[in-house]
Formats: sequence, structure tokens, C-alpha cells
Amino acid sequence: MSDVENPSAIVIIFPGTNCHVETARALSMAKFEVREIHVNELLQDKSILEQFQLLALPGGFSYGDDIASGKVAANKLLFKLEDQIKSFANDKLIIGICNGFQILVKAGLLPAVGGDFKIQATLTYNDLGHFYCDWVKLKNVNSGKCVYTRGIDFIELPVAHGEGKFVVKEDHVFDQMEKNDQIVFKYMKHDKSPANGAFPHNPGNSLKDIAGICDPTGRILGLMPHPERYLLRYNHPRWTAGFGDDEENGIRIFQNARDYVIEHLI
Amino acid sequence: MILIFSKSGEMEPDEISLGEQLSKNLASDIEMLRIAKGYSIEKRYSHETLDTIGNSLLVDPIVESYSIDEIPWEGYSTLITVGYKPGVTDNVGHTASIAINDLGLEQNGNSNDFVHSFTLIALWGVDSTEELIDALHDVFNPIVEFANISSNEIVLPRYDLSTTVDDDALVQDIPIIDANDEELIEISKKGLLALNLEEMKAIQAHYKELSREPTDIELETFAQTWSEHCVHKTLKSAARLEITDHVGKKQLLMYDNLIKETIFAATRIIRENGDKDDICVSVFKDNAGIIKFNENFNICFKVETHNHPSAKEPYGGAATGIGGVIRDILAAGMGAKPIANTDIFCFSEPNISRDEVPEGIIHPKEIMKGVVAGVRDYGNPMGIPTVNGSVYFDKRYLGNPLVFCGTAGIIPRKINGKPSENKEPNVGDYLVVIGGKTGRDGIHGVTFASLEMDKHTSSNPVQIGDPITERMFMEAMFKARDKGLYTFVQDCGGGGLSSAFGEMGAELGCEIHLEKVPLKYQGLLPWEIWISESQERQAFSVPPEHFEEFKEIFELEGVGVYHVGMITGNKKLVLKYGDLKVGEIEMDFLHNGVPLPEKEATWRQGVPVMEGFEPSDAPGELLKEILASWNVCSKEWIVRQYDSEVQGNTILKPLQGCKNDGPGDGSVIKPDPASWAGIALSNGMNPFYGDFDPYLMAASSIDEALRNIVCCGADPNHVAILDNFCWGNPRDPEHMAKLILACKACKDIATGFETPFISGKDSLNNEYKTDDGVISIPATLLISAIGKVEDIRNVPSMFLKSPGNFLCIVGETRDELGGSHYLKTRNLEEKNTMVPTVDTHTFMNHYRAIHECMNNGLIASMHDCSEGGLITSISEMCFSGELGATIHLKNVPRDFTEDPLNDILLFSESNGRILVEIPKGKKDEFIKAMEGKIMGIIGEVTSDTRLLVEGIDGNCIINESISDLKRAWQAPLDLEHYLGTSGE
Repeated sequence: MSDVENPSAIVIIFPGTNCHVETARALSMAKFEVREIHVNELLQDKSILEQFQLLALPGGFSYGDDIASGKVAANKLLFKLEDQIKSFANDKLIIGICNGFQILVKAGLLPAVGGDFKIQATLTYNDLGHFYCDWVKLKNVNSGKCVYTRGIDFIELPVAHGEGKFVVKEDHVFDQMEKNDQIVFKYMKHDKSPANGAFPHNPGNSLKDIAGICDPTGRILGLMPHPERYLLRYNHPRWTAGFGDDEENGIRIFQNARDYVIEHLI
Repeated sequence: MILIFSKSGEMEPDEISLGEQLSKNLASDIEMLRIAKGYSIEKRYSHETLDTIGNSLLVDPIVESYSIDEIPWEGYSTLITVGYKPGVTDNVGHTASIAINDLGLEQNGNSNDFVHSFTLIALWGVDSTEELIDALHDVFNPIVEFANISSNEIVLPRYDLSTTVDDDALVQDIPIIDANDEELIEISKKGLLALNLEEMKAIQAHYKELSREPTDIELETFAQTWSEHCVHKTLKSAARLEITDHVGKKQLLMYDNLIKETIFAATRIIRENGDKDDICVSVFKDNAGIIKFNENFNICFKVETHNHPSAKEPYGGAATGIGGVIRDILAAGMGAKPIANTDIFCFSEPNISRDEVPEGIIHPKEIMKGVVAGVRDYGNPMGIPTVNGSVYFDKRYLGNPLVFCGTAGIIPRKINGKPSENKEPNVGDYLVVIGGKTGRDGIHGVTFASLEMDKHTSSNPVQIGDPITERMFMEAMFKARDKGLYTFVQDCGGGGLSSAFGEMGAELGCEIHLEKVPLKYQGLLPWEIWISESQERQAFSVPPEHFEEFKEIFELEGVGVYHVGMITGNKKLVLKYGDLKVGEIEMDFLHNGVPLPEKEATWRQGVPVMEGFEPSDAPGELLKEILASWNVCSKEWIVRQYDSEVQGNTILKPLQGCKNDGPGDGSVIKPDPASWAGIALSNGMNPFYGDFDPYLMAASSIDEALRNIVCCGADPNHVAILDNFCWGNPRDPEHMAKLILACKACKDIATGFETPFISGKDSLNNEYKTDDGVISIPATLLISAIGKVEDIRNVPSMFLKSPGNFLCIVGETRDELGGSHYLKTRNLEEKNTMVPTVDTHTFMNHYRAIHECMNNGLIASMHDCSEGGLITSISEMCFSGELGATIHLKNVPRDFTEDPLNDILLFSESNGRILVEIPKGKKDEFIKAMEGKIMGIIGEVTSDTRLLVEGIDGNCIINESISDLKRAWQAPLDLEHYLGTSGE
């Protein structure tokens, strides 16, 4: 329990992170107090993290995605902030979007089946070989474990990445994830049937159409699509034809997080 | 050395694709091909430490394995090692160096970049080295990469480029005072100075007065500052054009300063005499044009070209092009935040055979892939949405592809209480350079850009970009800006430090200590440091009392800050290296001494051709052919590689429609969360019209840009435009004549529309010498428009919305088939040379009325009517909206009676026309609102997904399924096919 009254979120910026402004905007709209902080500043005073209930790793190209996407940032967390991050993960919320998801997977925070932070999966190069940007249709297949997606059945969001193909180390990792209710979003076709790996609905040919997953507690979420880019109905690609919604959009993910924080963490 | 390779026993997609590419040029089959990523590590680490590095950093253990100092495969016949040449930016090696230090390992050796990345390719079944050398030409670029072929070893170059320089070699006098004309030209040529004889003579006269010889660095400074790239001396010159019309009547056009009396003059006249509010804030003097947006913000816009480098190294050339224009926005006023990118390319058709490509030229398909990948790999990491663009194809772009990169930015109107567009350094301010270190990269970039190319043209000026460094200093820069820590910011691009500090100290004078500039490796001469175009640097003037805080902010982001000089107040440029003075130039002579001799040109107006010809016997088939032509077809393959959604403000997307894949007229973003106002971006370009009439080519481009932006919902009274001239050799009187005529059109049309120019750029000498003669590009003027949308919620988009709605064409269709896709497709280009005209008064009346209708909810969709004419635009509205339409040509307003009537109505590209879909209950209200305007209700939207057209006499002349039309339009740059083969 923290003595802070309002839910508060910290958004970590690495060199090359580029979605922190809109991620902070989404959190503010969901009524979080938000602090954006550069990782170098955080390393000067690691205890800052204790003041927050939600940690967000936004999208972008941390360290240029050189070597592999999210890898160098993941090592920053593992080698410089290990204790702080593990203690945060113990009872608080972490969300990683796009590059943030890649960081969480490469740091072993996701999928973390069996509860240990070992690398069990990866997000690797899309089959088509390069970056791809489009809006995708997603189905929430989670039965209730994930705290961020309650009340969401189906949502359209933009994707923009070159390395979004989810792959597991061994088949049993996926089986366990399914058993633990860790699968969150799956790519769908226009008619809401499963994408079954088909391009462009599942743009990177991700395993089992996986677009987002959570850890066994449901408090850590990673997803390739960008909910922070759909906060107004006017962001929807076909709003001029009457589609899009001012409430049932990306903001719901952040509002659910806020509700959880109020109920459990303050 | 650590090698990372796929765990899988099967070949990976990138291995299969490289194998296929290499096989094309090999006699024997490749049995197998494997690729490893290599990291050569200079520090002497133990095997255990290397194991830790491989294990915890370099390998992705799910899909990869690694080996240390050992080639992981057996039985291969050949090994190929490919990597960046020493001195070329190696982002992966740089990041690996940082990341290894993060692991907290044993400290060992130097702290600079000690990792070099490379790629190792192993082949089975191929051992002919000679054939491989040829085959490799398609997969690596010798300009920036090395490749080594061996049977069993990895061969890497010596990476350390450091050399020592003798003290007496630091500066040389170049004797020119007594040189004759020939010798002067020789000195310029030998030094790659691109200074012409008049300019060399002006410098000679100046030094005669000073009674001394210039030093090398002084001469280099003139070459940079006086280059076409930096000073635009052709457009600033006096010009005289004699026009002879087709009956022999002569007319003389004379200008003392061409650009000032045409393009600048239009803006001045509009600002002084216009009957609407002045939207301009800062025009022509800064790195970008700035206009008003709302009560809190101004917006700015700039488009640059990066043509010569992109021809030689498409990937690096295009990437540094977008990097440079982003820095222009960062240096607009006190520094604006980039909010949108736009990219326009001109290539030769990608399907021409290899035999048609002259020696020294890269095949257009490879150029296209490289350029697209370069813009992608720099633009996406910068976190700026790429929302608008176009591609034009013409075989004359073979040797000189054109790469236009644009960025729009937003800046608070006031920063710390002062107007944000004003910046002035003060005497005593520190001169500071931040960002990347300086190497020999890009030396002579701007003088290279001012020369014609041939197969011998070297490309040392080409560089590889590092977007992350630029992203890092951008983040820091806004913090420093809002705290008021600097007085001036200048992009460090073309011309390097010489241009940035030469500009910053132009009024007051400055002194630079070149030994304080941080270097990538030792041994650069002072003049090399001074003009190097190493990327990702920005220049500032910082009051001494703010320097420590300024430095802290950048260093927290990991960006280097270097104090290298100061503003002096003596109106001189003083260059020092340690205690040694290496150059001293009067600022006045440097900036005002360039001779601008009058340019003479003549123009003979051709006799307008309007011959008769048979109508097309199958207009539906012709329509599909036009939809499938390179210039009209879908560019989705390119658009999808760019992040168009980052920042979360994209309201009207580049691709629109039920499947999100129809062609928008431009884009709209909403940059201020506190306001419903938006910014629209569009462009216009018609290089084919210029072959017949350069005046109307320029006029049409302006109208097209304006039309497009009105279709995006911008207020036609709140639009500003940019010019980008890409031309052939201006010393050719015909090219010069076309340039003068285009400038004249810019003045007349912009003034007529009351749409001001706010910034521009020119790139001349786009010629390529082959053994068969010179290939010169068509006269190409890109007009880019930026406009304000008062309320983004009123924007309708371009695709059909509802059956039962009405279709209306606003504007008149005329017999103007000159330069049209219709004649091009039918190979009848010579039959009609009447290029579309522009009537600014009528067109603007229409645009204002349409905009009013949009704001009153009378428009369900609207689309620009341009390439391919009326029917092509209607097809796009139909297949994007997945609805059909029935069109009655007799209702299309026209001013002609010539045959072939139906064909002209369908395919003429007359300017000033916009297609509008009117909601079914709003027809009467719309007609009333448009009273007195030229318009016709030409059809209805239907649910049966067919496009039906009734000709003038009521017969059905087109009956096509919209899915067939869409398929034709998508086929040439087919998504799956092109997506399957990546650019890099």
C-alpha cells in the first residue's frame, strides 16, 4: 500500500523511445498522475520507482533496435535495475507497448510462465522482412486474468513494427501460457474470423495470431498494437464513414489499469 | 569475434531471398546459403568474457546460437564477409559498444567504439570467385561497404583510420594571385571546389587587394558558401528571356533578381495588398517557412532534395535526406517540434531491362527499394509520422532520381515571452556544436551536388545516418529551448560547420577553434574538420552563463556538447587550430561577394497541336490501363513501410476507404490536443506538362497542390506553399528559359490565388553524362502545400459513403489533353499539346464555396480530379468506398464541341475540378450554396458495385466491376510481391 492518493504512472524513456508523449497522454486521460523520465535520470536515483503504481515502457526504437529490438534496453533493466524492477513486478502494474513489449519479453518479464524471469520467448523479424504499418483487428481472448482488458471484446488498433513475430522457446511454454490464461489479444480478419497467420491481418505471421500477452498474474501486459494512438474516434481510419468511438477505444486499457490501482494498490 | 547465426537447420527467409538474388548471376546452383551477424571486438577479452557478451547481449536464445572465433558451419565452398568500410557510421557496432559497457565487465582498452559489425555469408556449391564478384554487385554497395571473398577465412579491414599530421601540413597557401584563367579553373577543378571562372576571379581580385594568397581553408570556405546548394546563385541572378511565339512575335522578360521579383514578390504582394488576413510569420529567411496556426502555436514547413547522393547510394542518400530536413525544422525559429513527414520520389520505370541502364547507374528498381528503405529506416525511428507523398515515373529520371523529403513542425508562438521566430546571437556567446563526432564523411557534399554526374563521379560525400543520435538531441533541445538557454540554433548539414557558423556569425563575426571539434579519428586537417558533413550535429550560440546548464541537459540524454568558438563582434570569420590562425575572411565579402552574372535565355513557343484522332474503342479497358500505369497505380507498398500513426494525431490517413487502402488527396493531423484545428499537407507536380509548356506546368502544380489540400478540408484562405525546383543544367539556354517561365508562373498564379510561398529550395544540374549523350531530367517543380483545417471533425475523406447520394463535378472540363495519361497510354502524345490552363479567379471562387459547403455538412466525400481525368478519380472513389456509381457525361460542364467528345470528358486533366459526393437529402441546399459556380450533378452512388457511364448520346460506354478496377490499380506495385523482397 502506498500513501499516494492518486494513481500515478512512470513512463521510462530510452534513447530512441518515441511514443512516450502519447503514452503519457493516454495515462493522463485515464486520470493517472504521470511522470516521464529518461533512463539515465532514473539510474541516478533508482528509488524514484517506488512512488508509482504503474510502469510504462512505450514504443519506439530503443538504442536503435540495434543488435535486436528491445535487447539493449532489456539488458539495461536486467543489469542496472534488476532489484527495483523485480520488486515492482511483484505487486504493481507494468505495460509494454510495441518496443516496450519487446523489452519485456527480452528481459524475461513476459511470458514468465512458472513465475521465473527467464527468457522463454522472443519477438523476431516479421516474415515479410521489414517494417509494416496498418490498422489491425483484435479479439480479446483473455478470460479475465489480464487486468487491462476487462470489458473489451473486440478492438481495432494500429500496428507499426518490423519485429512483431512472437515465437516461444518450446511448445510447452505456449501450452502453459494458454493454461494460465496469459494470451490476451489475437489478430483477426476483416470479418472477425481468426487471421490464421494470413498477411496482412497478422502482419508478421506471429505464432497463433498472438498480438498481446500477460504474465501469470495478469498485471504485466505486453502488446504490439498501439492503444495510445487511438484515444479519439477521429483516430479511427474510417471515422468519416461513421466508425470509431470516443469511449470504446485504446483508452479502456489505461482506464482498467487505473481501476485496478485504485482497488488494489492505494 | 562473435558470430550469431540461426538455430534452425532450414534456411531462413532472408537466406532464401539472398540465395535467389545471387543465383540470378551465377552459372552454378547455390546448394545452400547461411548468414551470420558478426561482431568484431577490439578489446582483448578472455574467452569467458566473450561468452558472457554473446550469451547475455548478442544472441536471441530462442531463435539464434553464437560462436566465438569460430565459423559455425562445415562443408561450405565459399565465405563472403561484408561490412561497412572503416569510417562509415556503424550504428550496430556503436550500440554494441555501449551495451557491452553496460554489462559491467572487466575494463580493458579504450572506451571509444570498439565493436564493428559485419555480415558473414557462407555458400555451398559455388567456388567461382569471378562470377561471385559480379553477382555481389546487386547486394552490396561498394560506396559504403567492403566485401571479401575467401574459401575459408573471415577478412576484415583495419578499422582505425587515425593518422598523424605534421604541423607544417596543417595549413597551405594556395597561390592564385598570379594565376591565369586556365590555371584558376584548374585550381577549382582539382580541389573539387565547383567555383566557376567568374567566382575564382572575384576571389583573386579580393586577395590581390589584401596582398596575400588565400589559405586552403579560406578557399574551401568560399566554395561551400558560394555553392549553388547554399546560395542559390542561379535563381538570385539577373535574368533575361526572349520569347518568340508561334507567329514570330517577340517578347522580352527581364529581371534584376529572378527569385526576388517572382516568388518572393508574390508573397510580398499578397501580404501587403491581400484582402485576407496575413498568415505569414517568417518567410524565406530561416531554415523553414513559418505561418500562423492558432492563438498558441505557429507551424512551419520545409522540403529538401537529396538527389545526387541518392543516385549513388540510394539507402544512405535518402536516409540523410530525411535526417537533414528534420534538422531544418529543429532549427526553424528557436526550434520547432517535427509533427509530419512527406516524401516525393521521381524514378525511372522499375521494369526496364538491365541492358537499358547505362554504366555507372544503379537499376531503377534497386534505387526505388533503396530510397524507400532509407527513408523508412531513418524516418520511423525519429517518431515522426510520414503522412503524405507521391511517386512519379519517367525514363529521364534514370541517371538522376529525385528524392524530396519534407517535414512540418509546430512551435509555440512565444517562448519565454519572446516571439519564437526571432533569433539573434550576442557578442560573447559561445559557439557550440552538439551530437555526433566529425570524420571525413561528406567532404565536398555541397560542391558535389552542384556538379553534373557521370560514371566516374565518386561518392565519398554519401553518408549513413544515425537517427537515434538525432532523436536524442531533439529531446534535449526542447528542454534547453523552453529554459531559454540558447540564442540561436542552426542546422549543421550541407557545408558542415562552415555553413552553420558562417551563417550564425554572418552579422557579428565569429572565431572558431577547430582543434576543439571532437573527431571520430585523429589526423583530419583543419579544412576537413571545417567542411565535413558528418551527420547528426546541430550548432548553437549559447550565452556563457547558460553553458553549464545547457551542457547538463544534453549530456543527461547522452549527447556530446562541445564549446568550439565564440561570437566576436569584429565582423570577421576567424579560424584557428590551436594557436595557429588558419584563415580569416571578412563576413561581408563571404556573404555578398559572389558574382551573379546575368543569365540569358531564349524560348520559342511551339505551334499548338490539336490534331483529330479516333476515339478509344473500349474506354473501360483504357481506364484500367490508366489505373495500372506507374504514375496512377497504388503506392501502398511504400506507404505501409512508413509509420503514419506515431504521435497519435493522424486524422486523415494517406490511405483511405473501407479497406484502408484508397488513395487520399493528402493528410490531416491534429497536433494540438487542446484544439480541434488541424494541419493538412498535400502536394502537386506535373513534370509531363513541362515538355510542352513550362509556364502551365508550374501553374498546374500550384493548382493541384491547392486542390488537393482543399479536398483534405483545409481553408483555402489559410494555405501556404513551398517550391522545389529540380532542373537540368541552367547554362543550357533552354533549361534556363524553362526555369524563368516557371518562376513567372509561380508569381502570377500564387498572386492570383493569394496563396503565399514561404520557403523553397532548388537543385540544378540534374544531368548524367553517358557514352550516348546527356540524360537531363524533365523540368520538375514540386509544390508542397500546408494549410489549416478549422475543425477536423468536418473533414469528409475521399471514398464514397452511401448509395443514393449524388455525385457532382465542380469546375469545367476542357479540351486539354496535352501531357495527359490518356494520350500517353494510347501513344498519341504528339496529337495534342494543349496543356491544362489555370484560371485563378474562378478556381478560387469554387474552392472557397466548396469549403463552405464542407463546413455546413453538405459533402459526404470529395476527391481531386487530376492524373487520368474525371473517370479515374470516380473509379478511385468507388473502389475505395466499395460502392458503384452511374455517371451521365451529358451533365459534365464543358466548353468544347470537338470529338472525341466522350473521351475528352472522361480523360481530360483540366485543372480546377473537384468531385463531390452530396448526401441525398442535401442536394437542393448544395445547389443553392453553389449558385453561380460552374458545376454539374453527374450521377448517383449505387450499391451494385459497378461503375456505369452513359456517353453524351445516352449509350452505355463503360460498365466495369469496381473490384476489376481496383485489381488493375493495385497490380503494378503488388503488395505481396514487393513486400516479400525487402529493400535492404
